[in-house]
Amino acid sequence: MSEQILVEELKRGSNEAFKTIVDTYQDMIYNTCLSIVKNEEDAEDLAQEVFVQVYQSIHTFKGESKLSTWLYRIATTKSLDHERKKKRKKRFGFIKSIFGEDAQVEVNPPDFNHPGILLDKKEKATALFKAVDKLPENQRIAFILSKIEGLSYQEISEVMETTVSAVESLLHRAKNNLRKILENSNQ
Amino acid sequence: MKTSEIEEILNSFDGITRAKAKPFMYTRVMARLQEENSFWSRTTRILSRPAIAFISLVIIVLINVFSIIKANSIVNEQEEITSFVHNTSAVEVLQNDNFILAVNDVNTY
Repeated sequence: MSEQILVEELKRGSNEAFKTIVDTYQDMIYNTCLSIVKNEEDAEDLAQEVFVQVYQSIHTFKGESKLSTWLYRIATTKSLDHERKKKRKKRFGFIKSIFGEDAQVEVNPPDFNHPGILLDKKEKATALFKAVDKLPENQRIAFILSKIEGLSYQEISEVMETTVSAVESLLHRAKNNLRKILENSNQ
Repeated sequence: MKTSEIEEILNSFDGITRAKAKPFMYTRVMARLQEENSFWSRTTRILSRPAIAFISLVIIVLINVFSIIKANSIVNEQEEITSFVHNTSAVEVLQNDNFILAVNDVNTY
């Protein structure tokens, strides 16, 4: 079934079409969310949320971009929102703990191991994930989509709704910043 | 850290494969959709929309303002009635007094 037909079927409320979409894109969405939030349970939860949103708002999808581009956009937005909420909670938890209230401060696991990394590169990849975490949001998303999801500059520009040259610039700055972060981390 | 080591770290994502989602994603998504479509979830979702929450707040404030104005006007009306009653009774007392004085005057003549 072609993508366009799938979308049309889903707009008509076909569960079969929705199942095909979930089965086709689940790993792509889960992997993207996991690379951003670095927590398997949260990524699983976010991937489900992405598909729930797809089901509920498929009528807003005009077909101007590829379905995968739209899905990437929802996944990155939701993951970044989740990260922001987590940071807010962390700050709030800290304030609560100052006032002596029993508050659990949520923290990302210090050493995140992506299950798809080659065994001999695990240690270095963990250091890279830590450094990527310190990048500004747009550089981080561009870097993850390029290096982990393997998207082309054109595809990234469509997901991020920007130009190809802007993506090139984002990735160039991301690499420079990562170099600086890594240099400073072991000084 | 050496430059070569940094470059190795930067290239450590090379050859990465996609992490796989847990099985039965579709079943879990459908369960979540059913849960989200329940009456209470929908009501909560609607009420938590910023526009709806703001409009509700404005309505509550307006109702409060209206009740305060209404209560004040009732108090004013009551005060007016009370003062009217007081004034009327004072006039009546004076009239009665005058009547009694007049009758007394007639009786003396």
